[in-house]
Amino acid sequence: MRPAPFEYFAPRSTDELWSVLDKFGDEAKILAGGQSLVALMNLRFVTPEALVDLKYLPHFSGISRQGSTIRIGATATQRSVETDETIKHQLPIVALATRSIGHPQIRNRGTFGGSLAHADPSSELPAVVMALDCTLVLESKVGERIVRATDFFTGPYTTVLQAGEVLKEVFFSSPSSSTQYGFYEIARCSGAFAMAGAISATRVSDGGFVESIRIALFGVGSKPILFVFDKEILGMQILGPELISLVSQIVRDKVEPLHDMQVTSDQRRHYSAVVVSRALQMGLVSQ
Amino acid sequence: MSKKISFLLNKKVIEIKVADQMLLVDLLREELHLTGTHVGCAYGVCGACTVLIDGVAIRSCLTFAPQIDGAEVETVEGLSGDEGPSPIQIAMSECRGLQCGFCTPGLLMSLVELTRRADKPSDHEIDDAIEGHLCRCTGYTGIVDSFKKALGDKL
Repeated sequence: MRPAPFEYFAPRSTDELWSVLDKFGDEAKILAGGQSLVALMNLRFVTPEALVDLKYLPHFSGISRQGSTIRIGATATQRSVETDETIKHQLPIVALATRSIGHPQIRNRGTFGGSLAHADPSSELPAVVMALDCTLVLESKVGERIVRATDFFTGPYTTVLQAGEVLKEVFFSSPSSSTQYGFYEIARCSGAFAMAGAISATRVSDGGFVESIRIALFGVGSKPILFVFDKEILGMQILGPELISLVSQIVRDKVEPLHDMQVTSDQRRHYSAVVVSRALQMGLVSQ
Repeated sequence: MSKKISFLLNKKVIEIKVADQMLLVDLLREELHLTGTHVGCAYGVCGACTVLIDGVAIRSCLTFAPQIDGAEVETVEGLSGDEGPSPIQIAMSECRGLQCGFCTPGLLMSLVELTRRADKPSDHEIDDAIEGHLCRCTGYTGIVDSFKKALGDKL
């Protein structure tokens, strides 16, 4: 199929951007890489009146280290994230999770921020920013507002982004060597939608005991599901089979998975425990 | 609405007026009559429409024509020259890298991108490059064989 007619804009300045967004309100859609949006437009699931391309606005792009934080601009392509030296060394878990998105040809054009704003429940990056407790900056003509990743996603394909507002950038706090990360995803084949996936961040004390675990599940519920485990639940334990079994059992008991044509709810409950346990076993650290 | 765009297509400058909602693949096939690039699914899954934009393999069914204003586009038609098909195209024919040929133009563009990006692509990198292409004839082995055969030559 082919998309319904719309008007294409590629503003050269933010003033121009805000004025187009002002004029079209809800009927404007932001275009970054378009790798999810254009597919939905081709199928006429989405029929905006205006498509506003951010390609000429460099302040939405780029990847950089700013003091103790790492910034990924919303329009940085997924390919640039997975190949960036800072990301590969400081946030290897982000590079790894990004590599699991679609195919290389999709990641060449698909963007980091686009994936977040699109908020597909089965996509990797929303879970990444939740597990790593990122901060998102949203910009509109009245200025910026800062939203925690945990408050950003409101449901399937929906976020707190208002009409006239654009996701500008994402900040990761600098990873400490005492945090171990993990990622695991179950999909029918490479590039297919996740049937269940998990990102984990495990903080370990100097003595080797686990202090806290954050896990975000994707492809399980209608938005990423966050679990936070502290010492009260975990007790004094090292990251070994017993602890991993305890945590995956809690996830299995608590999660309320969706049912769809790929997977039943019960199967997904089982997969949730599997992906959590395999993510925790990975123990990836920043270099 | 329509836009006037100019871009480089297989090293030739193209200036053309396009409808805002026209897909790049439709511009190539319907307006410019370069029918080497195929449309399979039209939602980014099959890979048949893959072309290079500024040297990078992308889906031309997930890109609107106005987005390529000022860019360089390469299609399968750009691979062969006066001296005939390129080595990878010859290898495809010799190693049974195709049967029906529907997926071939897209696959060729992803493989060309890979040769420019990596000097000696590993088996994993080759699999990674072709993973986003559906081929229902070859079982992929012939495609990988063709690529390896052509690697020694300049693509």
